[in-house]
Amino acid sequence: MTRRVFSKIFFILPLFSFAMSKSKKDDESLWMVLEEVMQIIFPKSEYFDGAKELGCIEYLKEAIGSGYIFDKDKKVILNGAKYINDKYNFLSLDKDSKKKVFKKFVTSDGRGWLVVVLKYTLEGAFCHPIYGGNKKKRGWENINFKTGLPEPKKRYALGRV
Amino acid sequence: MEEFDICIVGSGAGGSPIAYELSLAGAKVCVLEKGLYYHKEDFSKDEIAYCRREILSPKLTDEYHILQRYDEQKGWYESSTKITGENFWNGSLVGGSTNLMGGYFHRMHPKDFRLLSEFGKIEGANVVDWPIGYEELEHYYTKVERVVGISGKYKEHPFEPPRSYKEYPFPPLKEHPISNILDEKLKKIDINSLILPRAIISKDFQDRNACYYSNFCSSYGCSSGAKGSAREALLNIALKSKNLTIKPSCFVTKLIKGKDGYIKEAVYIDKLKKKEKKIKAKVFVVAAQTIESSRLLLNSNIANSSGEVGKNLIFGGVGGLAYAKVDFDYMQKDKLMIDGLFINRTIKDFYFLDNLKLKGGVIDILFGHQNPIYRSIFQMFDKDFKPIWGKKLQQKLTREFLEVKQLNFEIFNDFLPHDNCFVTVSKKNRDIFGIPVAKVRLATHKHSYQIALRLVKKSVEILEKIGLKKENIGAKIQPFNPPKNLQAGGCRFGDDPKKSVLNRFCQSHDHKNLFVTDGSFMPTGGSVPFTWTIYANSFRVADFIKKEYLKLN
Repeated sequence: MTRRVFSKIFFILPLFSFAMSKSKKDDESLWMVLEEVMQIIFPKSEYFDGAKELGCIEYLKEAIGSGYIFDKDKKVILNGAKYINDKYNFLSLDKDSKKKVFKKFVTSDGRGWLVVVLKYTLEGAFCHPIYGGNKKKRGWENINFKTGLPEPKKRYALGRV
Repeated sequence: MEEFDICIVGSGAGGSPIAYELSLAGAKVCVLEKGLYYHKEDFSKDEIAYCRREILSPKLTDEYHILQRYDEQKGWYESSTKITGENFWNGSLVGGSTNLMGGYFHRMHPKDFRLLSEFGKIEGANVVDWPIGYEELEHYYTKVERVVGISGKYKEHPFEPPRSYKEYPFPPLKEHPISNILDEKLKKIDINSLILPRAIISKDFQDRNACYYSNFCSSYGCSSGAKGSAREALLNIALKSKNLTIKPSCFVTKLIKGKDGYIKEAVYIDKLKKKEKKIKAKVFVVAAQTIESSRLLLNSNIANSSGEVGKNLIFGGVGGLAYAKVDFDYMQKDKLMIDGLFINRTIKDFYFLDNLKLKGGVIDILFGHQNPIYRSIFQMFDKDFKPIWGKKLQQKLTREFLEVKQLNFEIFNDFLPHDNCFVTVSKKNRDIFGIPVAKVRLATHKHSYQIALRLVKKSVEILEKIGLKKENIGAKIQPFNPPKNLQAGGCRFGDDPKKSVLNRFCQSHDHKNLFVTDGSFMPTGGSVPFTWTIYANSFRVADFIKKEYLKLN
């Protein structure tokens, strides 16, 4: 069993097909919120490439588009992003205010949301690059991680029935 | 309708020895496996695929469990894994969970076979003696060493089970430099460290290549065939007999009994073709892994005149763990950070406690899992379990990956059978195929918890005594999360048909052509992981079916 139905579904499924969004513009802004949030969670620093450089948001889009992430997680991630943007007009804020608002949200109602976004940010930072994150294996380099062999050649090269 | 001599449900450690022995003896054997057929060339070390999305188990939206746990306020409460995302499946593929095991193999001790007579009653626990003794299994433990392939080195120890051949057929796997350091330090405090036998071959054998030390063993399929999975070690050989048919993606939903009390047919769903089919056989063997085997028997309404099917579910310990972060003060950086090599040590000094009056357990010594995402996710909380981010998180990641390596003391002690750990089938929840799902009540007997706690404390004490820094040491026990990958019980074997589901040959008391050969038969599980015992017992049952039942030579 080599190629699975999965890969077909992957290309057919539009990446931004979640129900709650009203227009493509709304979708775009949610991804922008999430990208900014991931950079706050995982900033570029002396020893680490940041979430933007590592492609964590690309990873998250892939994961959500694949249909393999849990519906519950998907809803939490997107609803939280919408909430923080609607309530605080997040995207219009400057860098420091974004950090403040983020902290305010995740240390109160947004704690559960943070845990889920954190999980996917770390997946994006340290997954195999075929999934869109860990670009040029920089995430692995940052933590001096040597991958096991053989490496995967395709995303979910196998698959479930 | 297709017809075979033997129809086996499940292709893991319980089913495959039967397939191997019977097909080599000339019987026509069919194995129905729910999962797909992967070969060693298919596997990679893709953490996302195998460990995060767990593609080797069914999709939880389609197939799931109902779990029952106890809460002081709520009492017994149920959760559906369809909603929680808690995956209670194991390897669903040809070869079953053995594909994904770490292969830490132990034999049970002779006293484990008579826990009740040796250690007496424990209130609230349904402890009984096995109908067979160690002597009846020893030959088959040895057989597993040779056929499945076990590497190790025997060292005398008062609590080591007797062996008919002292030496293992394969020498020990290559060891990490920390093994010697631990040996010396443990010796100084009068603790015996033994070489831990592994179901991983250290030399090429048949079509299998020796271990290549990938650093990613447990939870992954093996790309060299070194791991003694049922697929590599048994099914691949059995297929050469041309007597074995393996049908992957075939989920058995029901066994049908005839008027004479014999099982006539298995009904299964071909998951790829989405068709229901039937198969006839002279003998049926159920080995779908404990929970699923009980589910199949209950859904088929067979083999349960005792009312015991699903009861006395047990697990491989209580998830006791003590660990220490080893840093460069303890060991030279370039040596500590060597990847891939195994520690392969076990401590058996506490298998019996209090002058042999009490059962204890084993402590296996190994490195923590090397998966980068898994390890990083453990760093995302502070001491008060509050999520952290930014530089604080990155500092913790730097420490975890660049400055330390985790040394684990994994504890296995008897998970005592009791009335609040069992399998039933749900009356209202069905899987995508319309089959009632298994409902599993999970609880640990307090005695098991207390012994685990004692061994965890002992392990912490040892870690401190061998010079690991106190602030780097931690421990946990998971009484509500017993290790789902080590399941047994549910269809106890015994001589009394009123109190057991199977007889001493794992043959149903009710249906003479029905056998259950996964971990289900075990009334108690010893203080060790079960897999070697399941393999060995299945070889024993295979001999019975071959000689006594089918009269084959």
